[in-house]
Amino acid sequence: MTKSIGLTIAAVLCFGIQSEGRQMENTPTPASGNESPQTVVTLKKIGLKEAPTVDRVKLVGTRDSVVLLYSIRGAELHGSTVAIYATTPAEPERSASVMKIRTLLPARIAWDARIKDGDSYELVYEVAGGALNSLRFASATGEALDITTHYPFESFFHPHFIRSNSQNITPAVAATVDKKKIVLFKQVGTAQEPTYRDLSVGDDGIVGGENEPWVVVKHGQSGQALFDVLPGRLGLVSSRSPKSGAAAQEIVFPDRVAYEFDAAPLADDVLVFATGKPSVLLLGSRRAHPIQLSARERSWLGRLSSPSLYVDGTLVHIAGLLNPGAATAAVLYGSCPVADLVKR
Amino acid sequence: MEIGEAVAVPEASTGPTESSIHAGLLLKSVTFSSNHVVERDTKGNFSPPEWSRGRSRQWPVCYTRHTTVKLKAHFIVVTSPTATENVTVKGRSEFEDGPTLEWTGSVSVSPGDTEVATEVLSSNDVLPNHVARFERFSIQWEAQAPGEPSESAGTSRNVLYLTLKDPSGTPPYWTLLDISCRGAHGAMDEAHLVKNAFYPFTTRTLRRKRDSQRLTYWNPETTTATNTMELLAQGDGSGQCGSWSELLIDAYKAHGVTSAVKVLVVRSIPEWQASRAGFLVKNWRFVGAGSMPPPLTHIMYTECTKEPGIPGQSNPNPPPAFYNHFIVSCLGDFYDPSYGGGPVTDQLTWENGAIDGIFSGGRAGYPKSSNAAIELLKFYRI
Repeated sequence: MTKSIGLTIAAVLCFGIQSEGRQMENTPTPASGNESPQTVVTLKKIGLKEAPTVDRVKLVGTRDSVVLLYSIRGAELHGSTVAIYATTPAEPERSASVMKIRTLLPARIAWDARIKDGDSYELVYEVAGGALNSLRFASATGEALDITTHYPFESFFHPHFIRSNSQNITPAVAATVDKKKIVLFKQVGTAQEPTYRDLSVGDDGIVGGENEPWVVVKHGQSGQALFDVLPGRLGLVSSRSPKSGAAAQEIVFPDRVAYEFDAAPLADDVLVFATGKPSVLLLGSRRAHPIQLSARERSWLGRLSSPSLYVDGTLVHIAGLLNPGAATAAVLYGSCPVADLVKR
Repeated sequence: MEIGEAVAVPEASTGPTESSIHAGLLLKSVTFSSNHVVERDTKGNFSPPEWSRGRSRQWPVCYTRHTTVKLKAHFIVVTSPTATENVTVKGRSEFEDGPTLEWTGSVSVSPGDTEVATEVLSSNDVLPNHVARFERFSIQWEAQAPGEPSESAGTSRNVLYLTLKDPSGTPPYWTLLDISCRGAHGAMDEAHLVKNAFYPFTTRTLRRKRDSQRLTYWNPETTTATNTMELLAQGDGSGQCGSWSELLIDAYKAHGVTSAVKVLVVRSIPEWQASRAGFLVKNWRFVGAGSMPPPLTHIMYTECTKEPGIPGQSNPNPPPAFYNHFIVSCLGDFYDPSYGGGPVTDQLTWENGAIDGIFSGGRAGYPKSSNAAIELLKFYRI
């Protein structure tokens, strides 16, 4: 099950952000004149020149900085590649290669990353086979493990590491099976063949928490796709551990049509960054009260893809891809103090 | 008023005495009931009324074959009567080589009324007893005031789809109905429906009904669509084999036929799971005997070279190699909707028509040209 795939794991970026203050947007500066008074985060373009070719972004935190990972698909003479690079929101002109995934098929693949031991990357990604996708885990040492061998007749999508405040636990990977249910693989990267546990029905989901996982789940619905993603309704499922004896409960985010989303624990709450028209931040404790974002052009907020959230001790960082695939594509980034959201 | 629509001008408008004025009606809208509401290819159901005067496009209507058509007609009162009166209204629709359906009812029209509506009316006969797509399902409407001759009140026209049985397991997406009813027009049983509804797939020129977007197989090749809903929702109309297989299966389900299943095609389960071996989709040329030991005798791209491929749906040259692939099995036959191939009755025939050999790593082998009698792959119904 274990094999080397010749990963190119780059040394972690050592050029930290010069000043956290450069990223903070404590005092939003409304540009369009119709900003919501609730706005606490302003998204700004960062000068990533490869942006028109980027198909996915992801924020992670190393020991001393926030890192923006981004992927670019490429074609080789015989096959395709997905190259993942790392940069920082503060200095996007500098980047380093993290990993190059060779693929048989040119389909866009979903991937996720996390930091291990403060400065090494672990990744999980889809392997497109044509009809069915499997999942592969790339360890910090460059080994690749097929996660889904126990399930040869199911197709796996949207893999992601469980959103947790701890970086050093054995990685747990959540994913969507056949775009119908959300499952969790625990103890990924160990000698055991991974098996999954059902968490929730849904087309897509982000799983977080530790002992008692929660799931932010999307139930797809009819409607025009946004960047090839169908609309859906979001819910928050508290998936109690079997020992607790309590049944899983889902509470919906009312009147919220979302496309893509990310989620992260925020103190005792769950923070969600959902793309839509417009994209918003949502708190699990205040589902009916979205937190408006702002940007220099309001229309940007309705044209976002690949949302990513990262919460460190003091700041909430968010990033997304504006107009992916177009010449006008750009990476947007913003941050705000955790306290600004917790107190709401 | 529709272009070309014949509507008699009530005599009342030419100036009879006030005491003799009777109501004149003009069809405003028709709302069907007991029908299968058509879904606008992931953009939501077509909301009634299905026919509305002045609307640039009218909605498609779907019923199960051999059933009664129920509807409600709304009329504009173009001539107000001098006294309340019951006006008989009648709709009539003729099917070529089939039944003539009639709907009869009455409306009470009073002075000052601007609009009136019938109760829900049922047709006097049932629809044709076969799967069908009628491009112009017309109902000619007449209104007859007491003691007066019938006058034309307008014509409604819709596309009408007739399914074999009630849809089951899928929303009746417009594109599914159009593909299957067009292909299987005339079918009266499951066997004919299954074979004939596949015919449009063989043209490889399918389009999404709501916007005429071409539906494609891996074109553009970044596609992530793996089911019917995603294929119908994609801006570019592109999907993987899973979406095409489900499109065919759902086309059958739109007719209540639920016996079709996906078939997973692999070299072997362990080999696809480890991305270790897959199959070469036609056309590849094995040059000479190859320089490597058997069974993978040829070096990829030098001793086994890619030729122009067999076309897929709106894609002349789809990806040439896969670890796995979905096709469809139904009533004993295999269909490959991604390429418009089939039906074939057995695995070997499918293999010989679809693949040229096996690859693993940088090597290829088992050329079909010399292995035509051997099943190189595994089929799993899932």
